[in-house]
Amino acid sequence: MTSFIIKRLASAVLTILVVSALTFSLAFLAGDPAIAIAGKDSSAADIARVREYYGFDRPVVIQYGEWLAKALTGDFGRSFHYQQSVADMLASRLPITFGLGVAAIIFALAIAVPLGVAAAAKPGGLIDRFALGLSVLGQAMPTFWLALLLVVLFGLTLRWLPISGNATWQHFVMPTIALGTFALPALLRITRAGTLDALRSDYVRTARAKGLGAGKVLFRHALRNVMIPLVSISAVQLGALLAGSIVIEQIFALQGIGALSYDATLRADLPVVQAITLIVAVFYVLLTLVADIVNAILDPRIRESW
Amino acid sequence: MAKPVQSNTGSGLLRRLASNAPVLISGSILLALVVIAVAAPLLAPYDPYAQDLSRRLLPPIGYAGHDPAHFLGTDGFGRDYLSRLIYGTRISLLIGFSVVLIAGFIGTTIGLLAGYFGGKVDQVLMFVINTRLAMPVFLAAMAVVVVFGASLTATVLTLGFFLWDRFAVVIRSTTQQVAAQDFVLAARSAGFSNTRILTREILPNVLSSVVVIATLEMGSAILLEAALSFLGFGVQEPTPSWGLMLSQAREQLFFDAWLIYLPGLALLSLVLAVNIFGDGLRDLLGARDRT
Amino acid sequence: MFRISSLIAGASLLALTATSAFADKNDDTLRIGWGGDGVMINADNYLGGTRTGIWFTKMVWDTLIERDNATGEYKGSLATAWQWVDDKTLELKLREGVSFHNGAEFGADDVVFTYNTMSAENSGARFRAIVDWIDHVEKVDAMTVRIHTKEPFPQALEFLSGPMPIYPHKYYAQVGSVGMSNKPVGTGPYKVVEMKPGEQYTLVRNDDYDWGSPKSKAKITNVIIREIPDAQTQVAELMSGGIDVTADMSPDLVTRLAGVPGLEAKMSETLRIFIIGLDAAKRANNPAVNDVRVRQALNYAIDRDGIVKNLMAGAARTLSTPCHPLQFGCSEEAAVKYPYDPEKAKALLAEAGFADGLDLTMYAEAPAKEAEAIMGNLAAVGVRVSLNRVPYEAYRDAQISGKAPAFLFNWGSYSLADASASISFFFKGGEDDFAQDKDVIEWLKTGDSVTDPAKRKEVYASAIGRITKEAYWIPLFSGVRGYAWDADLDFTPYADEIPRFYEYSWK
Repeated sequence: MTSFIIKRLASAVLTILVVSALTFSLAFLAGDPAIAIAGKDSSAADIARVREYYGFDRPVVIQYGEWLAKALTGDFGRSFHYQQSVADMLASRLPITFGLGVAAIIFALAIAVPLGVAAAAKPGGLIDRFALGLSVLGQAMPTFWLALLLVVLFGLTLRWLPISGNATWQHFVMPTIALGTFALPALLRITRAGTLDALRSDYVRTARAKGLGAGKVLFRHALRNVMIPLVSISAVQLGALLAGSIVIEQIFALQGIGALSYDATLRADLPVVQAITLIVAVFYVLLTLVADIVNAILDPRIRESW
Repeated sequence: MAKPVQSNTGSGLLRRLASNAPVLISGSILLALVVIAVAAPLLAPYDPYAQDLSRRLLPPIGYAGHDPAHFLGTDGFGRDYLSRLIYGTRISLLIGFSVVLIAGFIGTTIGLLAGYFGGKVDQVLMFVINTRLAMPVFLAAMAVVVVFGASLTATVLTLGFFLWDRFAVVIRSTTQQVAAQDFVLAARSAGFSNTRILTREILPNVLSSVVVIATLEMGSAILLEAALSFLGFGVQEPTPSWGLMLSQAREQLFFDAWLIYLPGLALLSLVLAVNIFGDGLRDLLGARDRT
Repeated sequence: MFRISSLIAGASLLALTATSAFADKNDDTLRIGWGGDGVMINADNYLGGTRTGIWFTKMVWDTLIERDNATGEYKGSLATAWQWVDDKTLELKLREGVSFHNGAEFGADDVVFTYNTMSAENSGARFRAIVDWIDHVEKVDAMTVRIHTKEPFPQALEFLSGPMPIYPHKYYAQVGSVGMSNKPVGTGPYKVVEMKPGEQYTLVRNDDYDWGSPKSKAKITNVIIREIPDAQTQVAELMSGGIDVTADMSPDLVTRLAGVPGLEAKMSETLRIFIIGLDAAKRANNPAVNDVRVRQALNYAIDRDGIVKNLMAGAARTLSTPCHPLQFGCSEEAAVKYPYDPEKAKALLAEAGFADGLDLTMYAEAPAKEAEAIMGNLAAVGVRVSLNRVPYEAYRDAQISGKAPAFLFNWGSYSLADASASISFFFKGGEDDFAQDKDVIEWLKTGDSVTDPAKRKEVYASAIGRITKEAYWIPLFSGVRGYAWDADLDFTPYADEIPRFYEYSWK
């Protein structure tokens, strides 16, 4: 077991290193950071001065090495554009994106779980058809388009909700719905499929035979069966939500990681792009690592394949 | 020697296809959209690039001030909106197909090799897959597009080189199963080369999975292109991409809302049709669920 | 789905009246939404260098001199009198009885510190041109300073009234640029209450602002500024009463918003100019644009009037000069004019050997909407433009590294009303000069260093004549900025693209 964990851990670290090196060189190619730092309307001489001052004319490998050495001590440097500590910027913006992501997942779960279980209870029934329709629709829905429609409907026509900013919880309602719709289909399908499996299983049949009520059977046994895949898919979806978050934060003027990554990519703000990529990579790798280890504990065959 | 794992004969498949309403409907819509895309020059009433600045922002049919010469109105440069929507079908489908082609090739190759050879090869390729999965696609896509300049080609290549993970993961496990089948073992013991076994014995048997994933991934590719173009990182003006049309019209949202509704509905219908078709295909072919 | 969308469509038409439900007049709070050009990076705008940073600076800080917008006359602000001691020394008397928001008294030390700090070689000042002319500043006595310039610098007063605010020296020395940005302290009509960088800034009126500044004391008590990057979100906020004023509206939006009850909207011309630069200096490997006939043909091919009328709501002016005619020394008479004449353009192209058309790569900054119409014009004379519309950084990279035979861009002259802020920046030699015309360089050197206004006008006119005759640029039109505001607000836009938020009041 220990050797499995060590191997898996080593591979995780290597993955993070490769990802960070790739983004570093990519972000570096993406644009001359000196132009970004010098700013719009700066002269060519301004730009040349910045390039020399920051040492951008040195080989990428050396610059990456320097960055990595610092990053390992938790120092992500300063944003070229905002001239602020990247760590501070991330600390102030992460809660917004993370909060939005969690809210979106909760929103999606709140619909997916009851609907998925109900759909599985009577496959082919009206609820099942509705659930299927909803998941297909959610999957095909362009998130940014939905967001615009929500603004028209709830923000302007009905005037129920504030349109932009992050001052109150109401400000998060529309972004949550838009992002949650993106996460909904996968969760709905998993719940329905898992519940169906559980209902076909022996222990549920036994429970039914014992005369337990349908509702009880569904929620006590089926849900337990669905729980593990649901949690792990939710976690993966949380990571995937960053992509959706880029557009959504832009539309709703939320100053989270998504808006920041858009801005930073546009401006070749290398330290910021690097730090965000690293965080996303670490997040993903940690999630899969934990999942793998848990699975390995449950299923010894997986260990042998490593 | 090659023996299909699944018993899908051509005619049987067609029969089942014909009796599956969602597949039939979505398939017809998809076919119609493909026809629209191919025949765009014949169908579009105007050149989608022709500007007329004196006839800007004309509303579509049913709105006050509608001009019968432009069924769905005109955009901010006086270009016929219907013509742009029709050509937009072409862009979306082109992107969908080409991205899936590239991604499918990369992913299937990786999946086949990892699944067939196993061991060290599998470990290395799994590492490659995991690395790819740990990269935030959208962020990376934005960076790549900034490097190569935003264009149709750059968008296709970028998405193609990023969206192969699902192919790789599914084809790997399908290959593992197929490789354990008797006829493959027989081919091995008969001394056939790995290349021959992979291309002649295994590939035909994982092809249905490839097709199913391709259909489903096509939907994601089309949506991603639209989102990238919406943010200005995708297809560039004056190319009529639906995402770009949405991006250009977004500030008119409260005044000329049809500019937003129409490309959005077009996008939704296309992806809906592709996805339903893909789902139906998966059920029909009995391929493995991608989750 | 169709039914839902038509429902929304119907409903949204009903919604086209603005409410001031949460307003604003009652709690005397002006809510500003800005950010269309990107968020304010750093409230210390020497280092930040954004357009909204200039607006913010005007509210919180003061300059030594203030230019009267109506008359163009220079008026004493933190300085009360000034004179040239010699052609490289400007002596200024400072105003007594002014204090910073933190209570510190304003004096010579603040001027000396601010300008010496910012003009130092590695100050980090984003635009060197703003401070680069200063050699050093000397304190004569507690209320007198002398600015020593590197070369004779006739535009000094214009610069001093521009983006060169005075900082409290002790405070800045203590907290630095980041500290200043997080908790700005100035002398201006508004004091900062709270800064949430990139999100929201809260200001309150400076009640002690009555020392005779040419800027008025603020009329509205509270100001809340919110960074909102998307135009359509700004519109939604404006119509639902979330903000009272925005300055990021396109001409189309201004036309529509002007018809919404409860709102007012207006386009206003700015000092910004739109240009297509051509690589006449053979930096990019595209010999076509090295031919003066091709450059002239491109000039003839563009229907400036049509674009201004249809895409800019007629609010901009068409341009024949490589500078804005409102700038000192920017003479329209001196310019060679290229009226819209596609036939002449074709003839010139044919003469240059491009009878069958010409392929031209053009780079443009991402939001350049005008590019569409221009490409349409050029296509009509057989110039096939392949447009690379890229983010500013990538655009600038391509341009400097010589990948761009043609580049569409705009230039705001740092809001300075002097032709040198445009012509001398781009035609005085150096890397940003794609003409490298020796005569022009000489003329501009003279114009930028003699103090006699008549002589300056004369040499700038010569430069403008040559630049337009050789068609080094395709001057297009001036910029416009679209403002929209709550009808309760008494708002006036200014040509220098700087809204004076302290002047506005409730009706």
